[in-house]
Amino acid sequence: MMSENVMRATGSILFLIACLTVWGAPVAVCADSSATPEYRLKAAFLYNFILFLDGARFDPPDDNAKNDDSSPPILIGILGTDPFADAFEPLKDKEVRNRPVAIRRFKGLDEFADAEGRLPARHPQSEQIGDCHVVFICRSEKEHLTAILGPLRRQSLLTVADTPGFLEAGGIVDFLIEDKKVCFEINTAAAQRAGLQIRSQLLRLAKRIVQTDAFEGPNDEENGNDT
Amino acid sequence: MTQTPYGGGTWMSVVLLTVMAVATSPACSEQEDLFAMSLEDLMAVEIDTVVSASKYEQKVSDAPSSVTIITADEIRKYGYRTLAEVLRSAPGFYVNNDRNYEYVGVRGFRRPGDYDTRILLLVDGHRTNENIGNSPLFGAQFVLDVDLIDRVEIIRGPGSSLYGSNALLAVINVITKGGKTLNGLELSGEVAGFDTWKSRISYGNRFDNGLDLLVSATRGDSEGQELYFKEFDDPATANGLVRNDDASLHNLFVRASWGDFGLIAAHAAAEKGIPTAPWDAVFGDGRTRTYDDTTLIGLTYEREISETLALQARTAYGHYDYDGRYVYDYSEDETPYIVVNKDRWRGRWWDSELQVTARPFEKHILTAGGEFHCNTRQDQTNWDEEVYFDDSRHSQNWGLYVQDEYRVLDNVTLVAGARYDRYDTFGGSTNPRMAVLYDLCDRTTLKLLYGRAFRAPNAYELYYHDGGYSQKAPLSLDPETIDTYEIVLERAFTENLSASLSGFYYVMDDLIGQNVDPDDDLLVFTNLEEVKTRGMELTLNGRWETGLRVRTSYSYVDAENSVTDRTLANSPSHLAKLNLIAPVLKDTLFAGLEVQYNAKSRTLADNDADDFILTNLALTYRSPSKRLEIAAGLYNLFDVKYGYPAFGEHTQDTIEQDGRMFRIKLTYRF
Repeated sequence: MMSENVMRATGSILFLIACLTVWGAPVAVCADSSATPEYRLKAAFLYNFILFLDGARFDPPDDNAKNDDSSPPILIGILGTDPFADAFEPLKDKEVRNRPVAIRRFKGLDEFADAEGRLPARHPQSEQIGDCHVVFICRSEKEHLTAILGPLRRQSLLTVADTPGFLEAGGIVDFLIEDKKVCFEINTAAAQRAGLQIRSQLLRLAKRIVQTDAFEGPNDEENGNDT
Repeated sequence: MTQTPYGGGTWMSVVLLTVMAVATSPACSEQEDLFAMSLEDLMAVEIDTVVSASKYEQKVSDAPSSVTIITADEIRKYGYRTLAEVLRSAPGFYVNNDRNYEYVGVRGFRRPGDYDTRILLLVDGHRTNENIGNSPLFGAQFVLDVDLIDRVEIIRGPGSSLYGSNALLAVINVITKGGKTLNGLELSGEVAGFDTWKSRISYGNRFDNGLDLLVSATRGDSEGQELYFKEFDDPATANGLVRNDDASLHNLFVRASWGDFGLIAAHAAAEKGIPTAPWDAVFGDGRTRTYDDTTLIGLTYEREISETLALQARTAYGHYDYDGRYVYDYSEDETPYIVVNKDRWRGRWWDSELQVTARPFEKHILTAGGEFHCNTRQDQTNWDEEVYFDDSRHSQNWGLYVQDEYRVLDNVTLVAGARYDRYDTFGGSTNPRMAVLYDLCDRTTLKLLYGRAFRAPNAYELYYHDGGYSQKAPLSLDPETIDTYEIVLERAFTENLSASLSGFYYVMDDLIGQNVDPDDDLLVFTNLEEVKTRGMELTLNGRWETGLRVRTSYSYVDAENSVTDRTLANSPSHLAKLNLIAPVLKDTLFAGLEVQYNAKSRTLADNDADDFILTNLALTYRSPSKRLEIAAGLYNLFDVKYGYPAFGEHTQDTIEQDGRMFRIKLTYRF
């Protein structure tokens, strides 16, 4: 049994909630199709990283193709449950290193489970992923890092994630949040194994440098982890 | 109160329409071009809401308990004024306010008159329950200004396997803000109904040498309102009208961290007039009041020795002074004979703990530690014209604990741990905990939890007597225990929406309560009672990036005294809550709405304290530069008349609470 007080308040409250919901909804709808500030920011980081990488496939295309519309794009791959939403939209008309940028999305490993729920030992799209320049491995894949990173280990591409333990699993760059700000760590041994040179300007900004690579065993030149 | 059913609603709609008229259409603003920014600049961008679990924190779904976290942002946007108000919004929690202190009940348990000794309150990991009555202070007497809270972690269920005594119903860990979050000088002033004023000055910074410092001082005063108690409606007692509801408080807080070291020093001095005339005090005499003075100084040291080994050490000094003044009329004829009775507690303690977290083998996380607690002073005195009670004690206790978190399979984690505690007063107590966490499928976790916890009898229960007038000290007391069984299902439906369902069964045994000894008709604390609680909780949380945020919960409990087969007093069987933060103007103006339903609960005189719906509404504006903040709050928006069950010391059966009240708060950051 509800008391008189409660009956009286119920009507008023329902009205109030309705007001707030109706008012809040349009603001919310705006957001649903758009990325979170965190991932907008991370998208900009990914784009920036490309400026600090050297390796075979980052070299400028041959002179004939330079500044040509047909110059092959720099590919950013997103693997797994994509948190970026529309964060890469502004890149449509941007270039990096005189090349356009294109986004490729790949399904997470779970999507390739067979009828009994078994997962493949390597990501079936590893070849296509290997064509990318930068691959962001979403948090949905945190249990499958070996199946994803293993086949890519000799590809000169930058693997990025925001999953704790990513560097230890053989990834190259891992995002962190500290004091509400996005920062990152780098595994230089993994980069070296992939044949990727990371410029010192980028290394300097890393919060932590790891020099042990999951796919190579401890690096002999290791000398502490403070840089 | 003469109000039409929708009177409140109409009134509210006027406010909302005004807000809407002022507000421009909430369109998505153009994104600033992050892609044109340098890495250095990107690294300086602050994100308002962090969805990522940060590196060293445990995700809520990985915790072997049912956990609620309330952040500084919510404290701001709901306009919470005390820690009790923060806790009241958590599933299964409810409060009592006897117009002297604020108390917190959990899952149907808060016996009227108890001092909340079954909840452990930590500040930055340091125990704050004082060492005489073991009471945590949740109201204005809490050691910290709520504005300085970074987040409140509410861990329901038993915590003795890690934290020792008092962690029966919940462990509440209040994490304080660092200096960097302030990044400069901040001034805050507020004015609220019943002539209530409060001001705060804070400075925080992280210096280039790595020192992070926050210094803050708060002062508050409230005149309080004139109250009417029908129990005293007699010409001899001013027809039941009384003022004496005034309050004042002072807070000082310093927090410094440098490298692996952290230091906090918190002090609170609070004074409160007691208008209810408890313990048969003279009604309407303004000298009946309490003074609470708490100091906590804590030092922590945390170090990662290697990738697999981390060390945490902490030591704290606690200081609690309580002074109660109760005005009595000892006259045996018509001429009044007024005496001020004085009640005094003096508590001092040291508490040190060393904890090691290690990953000795793959898939295992091992936590082990020891705590040593030394009560250097536990003094209780009661006197007026003669000394009725004067007791000085000191005691010590220690505990050793170990816990292993073992990832048995990719989707199954087993947590097992136990702690042994040894007390001077009664001996030893061992308290285990077991949890199985099972990821059923993507985003769905099942938790099976068992835990045992205990509460050591405190100095008040062990030693208090009044010289044989009405109360004597027991010969001995055993610790109280609780055994808990809980099953929790958590599911994240989308990135934004998650739900959890929990069912629990608690058995509390050897509960300490006051009973009359038939041999001598004196009141004495005994270990007689047993309580069994069954219940369930359902929560639904949503969080969107525009700032829209919803927390709802419903809880049902049936808490029964198995000796008397009766439902406990002050145990509302249904609680329903809605917390909604809605963006009104993108990124600057937010509305925080809080609606709470409490079912009726039994009073000590076997009546019902009526059920009620309490609604609070707050509007918070923060300028785009984030320097200026204006907050306006309306508490008990619909002016609902409600009361909480009174305690044994009250003549009243329920204590009526505040009607509609406003607060306006201005904060500026230089």
